[in-house]
Order: sequence, then C-alpha cells, then structure tokens
Amino acid sequence: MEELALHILDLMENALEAQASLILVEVCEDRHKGCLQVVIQDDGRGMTREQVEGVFGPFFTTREERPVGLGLALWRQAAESCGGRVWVDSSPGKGTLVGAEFQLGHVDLPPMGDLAGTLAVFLGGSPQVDVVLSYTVDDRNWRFDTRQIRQVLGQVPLSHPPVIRWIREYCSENLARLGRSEEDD
Amino acid sequence: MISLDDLRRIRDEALATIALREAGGNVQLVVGMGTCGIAAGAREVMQAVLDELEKRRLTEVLVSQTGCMGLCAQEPLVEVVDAEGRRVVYKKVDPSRVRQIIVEHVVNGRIIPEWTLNVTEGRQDG
Repeated sequence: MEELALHILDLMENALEAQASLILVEVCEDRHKGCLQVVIQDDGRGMTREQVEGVFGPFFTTREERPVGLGLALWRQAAESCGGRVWVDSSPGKGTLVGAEFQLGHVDLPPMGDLAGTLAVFLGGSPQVDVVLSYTVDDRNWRFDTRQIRQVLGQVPLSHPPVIRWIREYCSENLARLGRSEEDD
Repeated sequence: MISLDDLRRIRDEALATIALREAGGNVQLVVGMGTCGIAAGAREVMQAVLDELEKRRLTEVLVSQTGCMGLCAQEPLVEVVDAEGRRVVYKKVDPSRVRQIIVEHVVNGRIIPEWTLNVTEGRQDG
C-alpha cells in the first residue's frame, strides 16, 4: 500500500469486522525524536492470547471465506522496513489496540496520504460507528470526534452525503494546517 | 475555511429538504473494503460512490462496506442490491465505472452485463 492512510483504513476495517462501536486513531509525529507513531484502538470483541500471537502472520484471519489475512502482515512490513516496529494489545471483550512506530525521514517511509479521505470513506460506509482522530505534530494537536458531529447534526444522519463531504473537507483543511505550521517553525 | 457553521448549514438544509431515510425497500451499494479491495483502489471507488450519489441527490440509496468477498483478483468489487433483493456484483470497478453503474443500474435499473461477476435473484415471495 502506497499510503499510511490506506493501512489505517485497512486496520479500521478490522475494527469494524470486530463489531467496534468506537474507533480511536491516534497519530503522533515527534520531529525531535524523529519518530512517527500510529495507534488504532477499538472497543470490538477483541482476540484471545492465541489469536494475538499469530496475528502478524500472512495466514492469520478470523474469517472463513479464505485462509489468508495480509493486512497486519503488510502493516508490520511497512513499519519494519523503515526502522520501526508494531505491537498488538487485545483481549476478548476488551477490544484491540494495534500500534506502529516508524522512523521519520526514513527513505522507505510511505507518505501519510489522504487521511481525510480514509475517514470520510469509512464513515460513508459505516455511519453507525464513532471515530475519534487525534493528530499531533510536536506540541500541536488536532482532534476530530464524530460524537460531537452527531450532536450538531441532531436527527440528520451522519451518512447524509453533504455531511460526509463536509467531514472530508474539514479534516483535510485542518490536517493540512497542522502540517503547514510544522514547516513554519 | 470550512467550519462547524458550514455543518450547521448543511444540517438545516437537510432538515428542510430531504425526507430522511426509511429503513427497508431501498437500493443498497456495498463496496468490498478488505485488504485486497483497499490495495486495488476501493477507497477511491467508495469516494466516487459517495460523490456521485451526492451529485445526483440519491439520498435514499444506502451505502455500506464489507470485508473480503473471497475474490481478491477481481477487486475492487461493488455489489448493487435492488429493492427486490436481487444482488449484482460488479468486478474491477474504478471511479468511472462507478458513475456508469449508478446511472445505468441504480437510476435506470439496467444491469451492465460486461462488468458483472454474478447475479443472484432476490426472493420471489417478497
């Protein structure tokens, strides 16, 4: 996958599959440490210890349609190929946390890509799920929370097409601003 | 600059103009968003679905996503489920095919046979 945002979409799909009702996506860019951390946490059904142990293998899946599951294997490969690492914390009934650390500035680090598009597309297809995005660049943080959006919307559904477009544009603009102020320092 | 005020305006317009969705009886579009689908371009396909439905004001069409359907080589896959429950799976969909599928199939009810993977008839009793 060419963008970290596509990996993030893939991991959010895993959370959806685990029947999550709330997904937290946390991105931390620390330029002084030269480190990028991405964490995806959900409140879905979680996995057993045995499942967690095998989870990064290319043949791990909880589905019955086919015997492969490449998502987390690709995630690990992306992190490890640029001097990083991955971890998983999960237990049945408590949800799952998938994290990765990447070395900023590494030649093989994929660009973040269209994270706003990832969020909008995910919510367009699964408007019943709440998503929190927390994006930190050094000491600046921007947070997006669909629960607040729903409060504004009242009885208008989150899936209403102009709302999904607004989410994409709003996130895109705010994430771009966060990125720009990074270069101004 | 896009703000929460824009969202409030969208909400007010929506409340004034649209009949909010009713459950059941609607056309559904399902986009395959497993790892295979995403790697093949499903995010852009879903984006095109949302854009086209907005442009044509097809607010009654339900959009959802599903995991791998087991046919990874044919991804991105889009399934159209019509009001009668007939399911048609389109293969190797890209944004331009999305627009044609919505015009031909969703709006005009005509399947595009060249792009279908399979067709499953709906319940006859319904």
